[in-house]
Amino acid sequence: MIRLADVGKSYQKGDAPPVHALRQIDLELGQGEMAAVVGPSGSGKSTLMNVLGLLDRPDQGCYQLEGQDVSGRSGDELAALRNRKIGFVFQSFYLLPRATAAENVELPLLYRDRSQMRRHALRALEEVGLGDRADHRPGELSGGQRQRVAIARALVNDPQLILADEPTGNLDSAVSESILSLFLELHRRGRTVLVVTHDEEVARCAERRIHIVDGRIVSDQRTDTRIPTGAN
Amino acid sequence: MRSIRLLRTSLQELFAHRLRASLALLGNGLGIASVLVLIGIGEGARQEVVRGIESFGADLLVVKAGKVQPVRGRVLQPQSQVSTLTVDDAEAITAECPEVSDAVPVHDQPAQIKFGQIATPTTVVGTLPPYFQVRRFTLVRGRTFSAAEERASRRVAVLGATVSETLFGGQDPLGEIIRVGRVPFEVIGVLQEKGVSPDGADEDDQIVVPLRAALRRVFQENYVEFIYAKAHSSDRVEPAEAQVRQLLRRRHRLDRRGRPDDFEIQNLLGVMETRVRASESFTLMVGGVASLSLLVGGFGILSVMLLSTRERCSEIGLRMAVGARRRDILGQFLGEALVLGVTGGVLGVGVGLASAAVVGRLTRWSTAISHELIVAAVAFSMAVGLVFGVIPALRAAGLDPIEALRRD
Repeated sequence: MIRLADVGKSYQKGDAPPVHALRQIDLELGQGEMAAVVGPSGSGKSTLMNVLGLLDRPDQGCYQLEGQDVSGRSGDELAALRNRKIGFVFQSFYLLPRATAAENVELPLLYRDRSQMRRHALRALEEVGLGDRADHRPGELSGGQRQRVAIARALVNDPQLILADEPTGNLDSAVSESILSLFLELHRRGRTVLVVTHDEEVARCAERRIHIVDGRIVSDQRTDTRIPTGAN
Repeated sequence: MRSIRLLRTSLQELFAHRLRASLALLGNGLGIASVLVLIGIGEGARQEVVRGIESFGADLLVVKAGKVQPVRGRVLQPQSQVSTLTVDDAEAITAECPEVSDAVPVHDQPAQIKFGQIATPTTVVGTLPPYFQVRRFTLVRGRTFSAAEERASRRVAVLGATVSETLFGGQDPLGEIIRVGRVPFEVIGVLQEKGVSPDGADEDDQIVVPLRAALRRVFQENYVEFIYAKAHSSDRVEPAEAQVRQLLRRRHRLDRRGRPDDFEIQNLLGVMETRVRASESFTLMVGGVASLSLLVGGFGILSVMLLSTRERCSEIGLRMAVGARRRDILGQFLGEALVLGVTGGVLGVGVGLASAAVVGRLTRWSTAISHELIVAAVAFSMAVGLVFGVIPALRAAGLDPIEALRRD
């Protein structure tokens, strides 16, 4: 489903020597997998996520999304791919403060011609357990509920890949667990989920754990340890 | 549908920053309003000139007797003794100038007129019957005098509206005897109100009497002061003027001695064009100054939009992440600027119309704000919004989504 081959990305600022954010990354992610990307800050986790999310282009190597090579696509093509194939969940939610939950969830639908936007939005909200909060504004929701709205927004276009960047970074531990179990639930329903985190708690619940240091993958393990769901 | 949904966020944002948005609207709206009022005043002035001259007769030439010529420091021909135009000149013009449909000699002079105990100063106009038609007077009462009555020097008078009101109030003046100086005249008609002529005279403050009666019994003169010559239409005025000039120079034997004209021909169309041009250049000038305030309004929109795009960086980044193309972002922010422009324009038109009405009531200026001007004002305001919204919108659309998301 996702294949990175020999992907590298470096940044150059002024005359300083280039910073290699990613070096020779080879990575495959199968349909329905749930993986956690861990590593210290500055290790290249975010760059990896940006590249996977088509927000950033690699300098070298090849990125195949569902068998299609996406390097060399135009900005508009990438925008359309992001819209249909990828759902983003961010640490700080990024909800429009003056729009209702449903309106926030509809946002990706605005950028593709889709009828019955409200129906899709409500279904996504129900999927994250917020069917009854559709008309609330972000200010009227708790942190965990806001992140659920953001997850609903990521789901609304039925994407192949859900990319979450520190999704529990702004939440306390009890709420974090409920968000994690939501991701697990999505994974169980067959969604492909990649979570970038430095939180061990989060990483532990993924069946696969990719460790990045200095822009390189230093370990890629499959684990069976999972937080038992339903208990929280 | 989609664009309406996109615009909705913009409206929510604008509404959330009401104060800031209303300041931008204020600048833009006041600019539009001031342009509207000033152009309206200029256009009103222009229309008044045109209307005035048209009611006087745009197809009229006024041939004035004599020219005041200073000779060796003295002024020849004081006004009471102009003696170069005659009734025969007028007849000759009618007969010999094919471009002139009618020529009417006129002699007018101020005089005191009386009815019973009431006296009032007014202008006594001695003329021939075609005068009423040439000068486009209509009657509200009675009749005008005939050519036969004129030839017979009958002492009959047609009163201007003001004079009739002053002497008779609401009473019927027909058949009454008024005195011009000491000479009695019978009132046979009253003229429709006409207003002020282009040279500022009240055209209703006059009485019209047969020329011969006026010359012999009131003024004791043989000469006329001027001749109205009517061209066939307002665009045939110039050839008519040339013919009249040629004829009068021949009749006055000026060509043989190579002397300058002893008369003056005023072409009302020329006067009108000059005045219209003057009022138009006035309009253009004030309009230009007022346009500067439109520019100020534009900068208001520019700064609001710049602030807005800066504050909403993460929103822009998020929109890009969920699939907005650059042109979607561009469109959204241009739409927002457009909303500011149109709203400002509509508000400005409202304020402009209201202030034009106030100006019209407080002063004697008439203002004319046409539908076209209103549409142009709103369109212009829209254009201001677009032009000044382009830079912020381009900036927003040019953001890198990763940068935009990080900058929060």
